Amino acid sequence: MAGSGTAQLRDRDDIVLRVEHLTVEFPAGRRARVHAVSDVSLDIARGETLGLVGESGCGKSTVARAIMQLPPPTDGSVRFRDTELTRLHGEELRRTRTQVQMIFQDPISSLNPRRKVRDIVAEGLRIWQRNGDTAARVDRVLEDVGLDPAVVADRRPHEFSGGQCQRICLARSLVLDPEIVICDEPVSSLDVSVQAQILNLLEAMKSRYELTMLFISHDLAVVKNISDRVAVMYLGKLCELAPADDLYGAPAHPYTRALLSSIPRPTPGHEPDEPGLSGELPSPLDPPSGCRFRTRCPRAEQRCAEEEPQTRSIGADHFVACHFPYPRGKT
Amino acid sequence: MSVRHPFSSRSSRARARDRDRVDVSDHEGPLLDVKDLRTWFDTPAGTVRAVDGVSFGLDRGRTLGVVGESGSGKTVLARSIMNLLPRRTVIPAGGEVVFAGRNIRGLGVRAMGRLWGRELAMVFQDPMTSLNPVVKIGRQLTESLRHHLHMPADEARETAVALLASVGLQAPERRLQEYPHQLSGGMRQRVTVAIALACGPSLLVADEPTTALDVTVQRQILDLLQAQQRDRNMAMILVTHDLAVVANRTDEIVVMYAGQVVERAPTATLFGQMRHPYTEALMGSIPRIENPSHTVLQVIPGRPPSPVDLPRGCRFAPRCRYAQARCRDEDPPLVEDDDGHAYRCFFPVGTAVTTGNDRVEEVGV
Repeated sequence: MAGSGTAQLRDRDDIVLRVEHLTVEFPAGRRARVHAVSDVSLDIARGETLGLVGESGCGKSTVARAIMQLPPPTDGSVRFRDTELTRLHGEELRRTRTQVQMIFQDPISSLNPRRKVRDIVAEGLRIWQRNGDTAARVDRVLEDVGLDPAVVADRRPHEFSGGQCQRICLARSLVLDPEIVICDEPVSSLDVSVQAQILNLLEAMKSRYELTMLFISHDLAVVKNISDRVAVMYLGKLCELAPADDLYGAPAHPYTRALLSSIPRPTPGHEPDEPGLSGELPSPLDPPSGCRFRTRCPRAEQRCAEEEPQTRSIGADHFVACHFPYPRGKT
Repeated sequence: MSVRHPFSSRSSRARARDRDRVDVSDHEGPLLDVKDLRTWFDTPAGTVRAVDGVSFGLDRGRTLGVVGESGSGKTVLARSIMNLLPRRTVIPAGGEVVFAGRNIRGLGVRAMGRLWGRELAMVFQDPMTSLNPVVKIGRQLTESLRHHLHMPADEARETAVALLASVGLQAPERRLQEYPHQLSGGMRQRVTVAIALACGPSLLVADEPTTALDVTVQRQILDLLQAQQRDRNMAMILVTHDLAVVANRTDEIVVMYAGQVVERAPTATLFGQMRHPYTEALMGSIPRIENPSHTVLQVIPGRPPSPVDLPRGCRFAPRCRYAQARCRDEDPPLVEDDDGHAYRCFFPVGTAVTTGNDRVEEVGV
């Protein structure tokens, strides 16, 4: 975008999460503000996985936290089914959050080292005093994520590897039977062989628990593997949103193309088809006028500095916020 | 790079001046020859065989990729070559690191001080912790120039400006006056590359130089390393967990698993036909951008063995889909075929056992 607009929002009955004009700013002293997320709109339908991809500092984690109201966004709306999350407080918000679970990047630091795996996974059930057999439910969830309850339940997190801890985190988020799971870089700290295990597990759990997912990562190949649709962010704005195969097959936004051509390929002799990005990410304290990507964009013109591009449709479910997108059909 | 040099007094510098000429230019044969390197650690849990019998050679102007997952021993290998390991815990289990014809294995800080920065340089994963946060960029850059090349201050400063410009930093004069925290992650890594290159080393060891960086910045840094390496006819060891990073940046690749080299081949040969089941499985577990979304990834079951309790026989056998009885019994040797392709496997990929034909008891390797 890097621009705004709501053309990408769908008018359907099965929308589980709808984020509109989401803006998050943080005070940075002397009246300066960090524009972490600026006017981002997106939605996720039931059973869908939306991938959110971008580089460090683009605001993708801030979007996830704003959805969880951790902290609530500066402006904009977050609708979970028929509930407006930004207006909820206290008990109501906590109760709704049981339906919206989150998994974090570092699985080891997101588990309490002093507690046993059984207690960690059972905590949500205990707090909400769900009826039924807690122990049996915990065992079943642990089995579902590929851990043997008899072996792991009485151990503590430090006895497990990163991949196993991520399985425990997943079990903890699934135990309350959530509607939607937000995964913030869940495989970024794992080795490739373990990453493959967790990605396959997430797919399996998604169909078993009928989940809707928001999957955040900086790794474009990982995001493509798991997502139905992918949104690309740059400096707090949305650039492009399209079905996964479409976005990677026919990227229209110059930033998406630069990202894709920067990925190293495991095939010798592969020559990237685009020059790499030059320059540095501008400061989110004082983002560029117009399109935020224009300072590094090979196609930028005068208009990009004056007028902020709005998201518009350039094909079936393919949206881009750029004045001069690459034409479709050309890869 | 660490900017603290082992020499602290001027007099020791002066004395070292004439002794520290290591002339690598007229040396014949490979620049670096690692022979049966073993680095073990003494820990309360037992002896950790972090690097266990690694051998390879590297010529001037060539790049070697070292690939492996966490705990495979790749970083310990890099640090063993550089002699950067704590001496107290290392068990001198053997092996040689022959650099320009001279075995530098186990050399002390004093002797290594003549080589570090000057002949052997290193770039680390995290640029913030490898730069000194309270020293300006300028001094961190000029320190080795003044120390090793005995440059006068103004000349060192000019060289530093040229170096920063050559690694693609804007406004290099201004950067000399800045502290590391004032730079972005990518710029900091450019600075550490400039420091490593300052004295024109003949070997650069880059240990996961781009793992902490974004993809677009990763590409910038890898392009930079490659260009500098070509310009200077420098040898480079690129250590990474990512097969994709080394596919287009190296001449030869070493794949490590549980402290051993399991496969070694020229890059094109390796990607043309992977012979070791681990390399093949590792490749299959990478999500590929060419594949449609929701492609099921190939998984390596289990996890790497504990370094203090290595399995009998082949170290990969417990996780290998092709493992036979012999693999759990006998330690396979690293065997090299005619194309310079070496692999540590009794039943390499592409032979009867692995292609699913009738079970064959033994395949000649």
